[in-house]
Amino acid sequence: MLRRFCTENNQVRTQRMAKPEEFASTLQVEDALGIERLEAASGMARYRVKSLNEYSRCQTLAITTAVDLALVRAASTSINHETEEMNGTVEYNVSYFKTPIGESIVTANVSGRGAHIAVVEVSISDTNQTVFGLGRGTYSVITKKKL
Amino acid sequence: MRDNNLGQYPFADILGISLESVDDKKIVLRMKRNSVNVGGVRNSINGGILATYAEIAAHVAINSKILTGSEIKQTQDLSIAYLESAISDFIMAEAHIQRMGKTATVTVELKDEVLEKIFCICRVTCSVGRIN
Repeated sequence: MLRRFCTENNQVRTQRMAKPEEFASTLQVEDALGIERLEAASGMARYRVKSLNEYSRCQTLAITTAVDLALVRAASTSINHETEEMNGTVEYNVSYFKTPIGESIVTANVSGRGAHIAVVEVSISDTNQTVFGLGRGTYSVITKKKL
Repeated sequence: MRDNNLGQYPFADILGISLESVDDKKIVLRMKRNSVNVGGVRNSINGGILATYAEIAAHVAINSKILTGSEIKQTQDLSIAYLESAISDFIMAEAHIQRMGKTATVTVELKDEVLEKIFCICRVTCSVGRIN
């Protein structure tokens, strides 16, 4: 399954993505929370979260969702879809240490990969390219059952 | 409990979140499965949404105890472990305040509608300060 992504400079790239049976569409989640897919490449994924200044107390809420989306998307680019299946996020944590200004960019990178797990590191920056959040998560990968 | 506590979170309505009960020990929220919040593996509730749901539950719990003239400034830290796919029609969030002060810490368990099966365990820490 090929999916088209727009990069930050509007270049369109195609990327092998997880099949629908592997995880359901998250498009409605993204639309509802103001989250936009920017790109996904080998071992990385990037999302944009719209500014939520009018809701000063819930700026991080949509970002918290975007962290998981980016983590999963990055993990999905690091698995062999012929022999492996996505099995869900195991855990993740995120720390917000500054108040973001404007929109946020959530970037996830797979930093380690084992037989059954992918470790993903996430950084979150604001309009001024100031990093205000860091996270780390693990994603479960299982071997496909032979029919 | 302060008025409009849950109402100040615009995502709560979109995600189908409502207040179930509140007492001195815990806050319980309920999220109805809908077309927006589904998006995880095996047709479960999306994991990112579950984390945001837990964050909202923590904020509501803190706001229920916060002193007049103070407010949540920001979430500082959130950790979540996913134990089971959240596939029930309603996902309940039980939030327990562990510490209140300039830093408030809340533990949140996300469970099925009969509060038996635990889907996720979450810990949320927020900074609290005077309203400017």
